[in-house]
Parts: sequence; structure tokens; C-alpha cells
Amino acid sequence: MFQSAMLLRRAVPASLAPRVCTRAFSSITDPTAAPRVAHLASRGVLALSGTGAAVFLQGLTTNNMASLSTPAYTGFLTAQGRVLYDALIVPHKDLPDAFLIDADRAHVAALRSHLRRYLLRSKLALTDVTDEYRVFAQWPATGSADSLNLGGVGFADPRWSGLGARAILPAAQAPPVPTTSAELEYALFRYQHGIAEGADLASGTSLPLESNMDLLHGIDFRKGCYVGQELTIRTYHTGVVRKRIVPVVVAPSGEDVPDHWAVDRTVEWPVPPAQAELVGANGKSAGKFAVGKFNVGLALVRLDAVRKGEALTVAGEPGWTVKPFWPAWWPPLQDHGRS
Amino acid sequence: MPLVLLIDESAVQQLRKIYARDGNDQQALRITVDAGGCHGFEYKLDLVDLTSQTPDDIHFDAQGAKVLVDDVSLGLISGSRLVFTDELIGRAFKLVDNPNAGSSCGCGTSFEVKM
Repeated sequence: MFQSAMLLRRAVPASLAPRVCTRAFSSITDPTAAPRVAHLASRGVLALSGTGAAVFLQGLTTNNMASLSTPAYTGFLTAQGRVLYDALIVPHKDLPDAFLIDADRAHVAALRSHLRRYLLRSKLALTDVTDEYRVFAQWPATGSADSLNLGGVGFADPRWSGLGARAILPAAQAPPVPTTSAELEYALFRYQHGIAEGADLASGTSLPLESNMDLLHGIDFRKGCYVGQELTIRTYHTGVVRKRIVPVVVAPSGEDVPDHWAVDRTVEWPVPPAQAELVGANGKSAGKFAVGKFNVGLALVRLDAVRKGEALTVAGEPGWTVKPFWPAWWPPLQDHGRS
Repeated sequence: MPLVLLIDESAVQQLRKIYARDGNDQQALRITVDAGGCHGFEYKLDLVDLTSQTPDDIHFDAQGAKVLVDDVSLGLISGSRLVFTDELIGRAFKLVDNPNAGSSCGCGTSFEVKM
């Protein structure tokens, strides 16, 4: 017994041990708090314009670009239906066939060359304008109009009403609402609600439905052909989505796992590595860890394990317990997991 | 690597039939690759007037059967074979055995380019 307890502890630094009972949990969604604003430095921007730009995007992306008049969330897939990149696509207010593409900064160069392969004879202009724009987020949505447009310069985040507002502003333009928070706070807010984006998703491996792109209004199931459509539409119609990305709390093995999701900012130990295998109570694979900070993060987890709130272990890493939570904002999913 | 297009006897025969039917041999089969379809790229085959030839086109002539391919498209289909298939599912010109294609969609009109 003693021996195994030592083994379980080994992956966690000893400095953790004294503070087991002194946790200061902090909620990051106090409904009475004023909305927060952060500059999202981890985002980059591409500009696409020219006659036929909407038709061009239509064939390459999961959402319907043909009728796009407001910003939309979308995915760029491999022909086999895996997510390469995700992005918010923002149509120009006045010009038809002109878009800004707000994507993970780490993906912008690769997304640009991915799109360029399909340009062929078309004369569309596709440029990396990351240095010319800054992306801001304002959250959470409080119900007032101001909280949904970032002081009049932004737009409601199309993924989920609770995400608040977003704005892509010329680099020289300061947002009308002062910046209050570091980008990390926005990431923690996304983690709390199970919303993965950009580099949180394993590029070339993640599936769009498992990444909640359907729940985040990123997929049009009726639009017709686009790259990766075959697997996506088949999965949708068979209705089998067994795993999804959900919020998790990470605790050192042997400690009580909290029964609710809360950030513990005193935690200094690292979360499990991306793609670390999670194992359920039955000893079988229950999913994969995605991303995290402090004691919280996101993981792709079998929905039956999420429903049961099973405490998962990490394969080959006895130091952690990972507990998944069902996001409160999700629409009721049918038994087979389809919305 | 030189850019080539293999034109099958079946395609030559069918184009000649069309020329005879229309009494006009100043027509060509234009092959275009567009972005689209389930796998990213799709073939478009059209019967066009030879006068539509542009400086970007490569003009193939196989025993009188004329085929036009623009240089961008030819880069993506080079080495393929143009055939005329006559099957239960339909009679049509088709590009087959494209060495640049990775996977294709179920209907065969859309393909992915190998990186």
C-alpha cells in the first residue's frame, strides 16, 4: 500500500503537498462582474478578396459561405474529414467578396498556403495581415447590447451566445472599451465552457463533430460539397458522436477531485501533455487530453464517461486524475450524442 | 518533368463521332481543374469552340481529336488518361489514372492532390 501511494505521488512535485486544504477557488463567471476585455495576441488574420471569394471559400470550408452576411465560425478539413484549422470568417461590411479570416496565429501561414493550393487560375488576393490588425474579445455576454459588440466596433461571437463579443481592429485603433485582462483569462473562460480553438485542436487528427464544431455553429450540413464533407455528413447522419471536447479539472492522484469546475490559480504543476491518453474506470481508453493551465483544461472524452463524471487517469502518468464536466450551455443531445 | 496527357483511342473515336455528327471539326474537349468537390479539386470537361483557345492553353491533337487544357490544370492532371466510358451508369468522357491524385471521392469527379 505504502509503496503504491509513493508511486502515485511521484509525478507531482512535493511542493504541492502542504496546500491540499488551502485551495482558493475562484469563479470566472460572476454574473454581476463587468465584462472583461482582452487583446488576443495568439490570433492572426488573413485577408481574402476578389470576385468569387465566397464561392472559393464555399468549397473549402464547413460553414455556408454563400449566404454569409455576418461573421461565422468554420473549419478547414482534410479530404478525409479531419480538422486542419478552424477560424472565424468575417465578411466585409460593405464590399461583397471580401473577408477577414481570424485564425490561430500559429496556423496563419499554413492556412494561407493551404488556401493558395486551391487558387489555381483565380485572381483572388490572399494576404497575411496579422501585423495590420489586432483581435479583441469581450466576455461574458451579459445581455446588454454593449456586451455583444465591444463598444460598437465588434460583433457577437458566432460560436455561442455566452462567448460575448469579438472585434478585429486595425492595429492603430484602440478599442473603445479598455482592455482589462490578460489573454489567459479568456482561455480559462473557454476552458470552463469546453470551447477549444486553434492550436487546442490536434491539426490533421481532430474530427469536427468531436471538436463541437456542430454545437458551435461551424458546420452547415446542407450546403453541399466541400473538402472533408463525406466523413462529416456520414457521421452526422449515422448520429454517432461518442466523444467530445469537454471542460476538465486536473487533480493530483490521491487527492479529492472537486465536484465542480473551478480554477485554482495557486497550482504550479504542469497539466498532462497534449494528446496524453486518458483511461476510464474500466481500464479502457476514454479519450485524450488537449490543453490546460493551472488545474483546468480541455480534453476529448467519451460522453458516457462525461455523463458519469468518471475520474480518469492518464496512461503512463500516475500523478494525475482528470475529471470531465458536462458543459451547462450544451443543447440537449440525443442519446446517440447528436444535437 | 514534361507535362503529358494520354488520350485513349475511345476518346479519339468519340470526338470524331461528334465532329461528324455536327459537321464541324473545329471543336475541342476542354479539360479544366477547379477547386471544389469533396476532395478539393474537380474535373470539368466541356465541348468548346476551338476559337476559345487562349495563350495559356496547351492544344493536344490526337489523330484529329482536339483537346485543350490550360497550363495550371495540366500541372494537376499530367500523366492522366482521357477515356470515353460507356457503362450502365452513363456514357461520358473521364479522366482516369491521375498520378497526381491522392484519394478521390465516391463519384470520381473530385480528387485530392498528393503533397
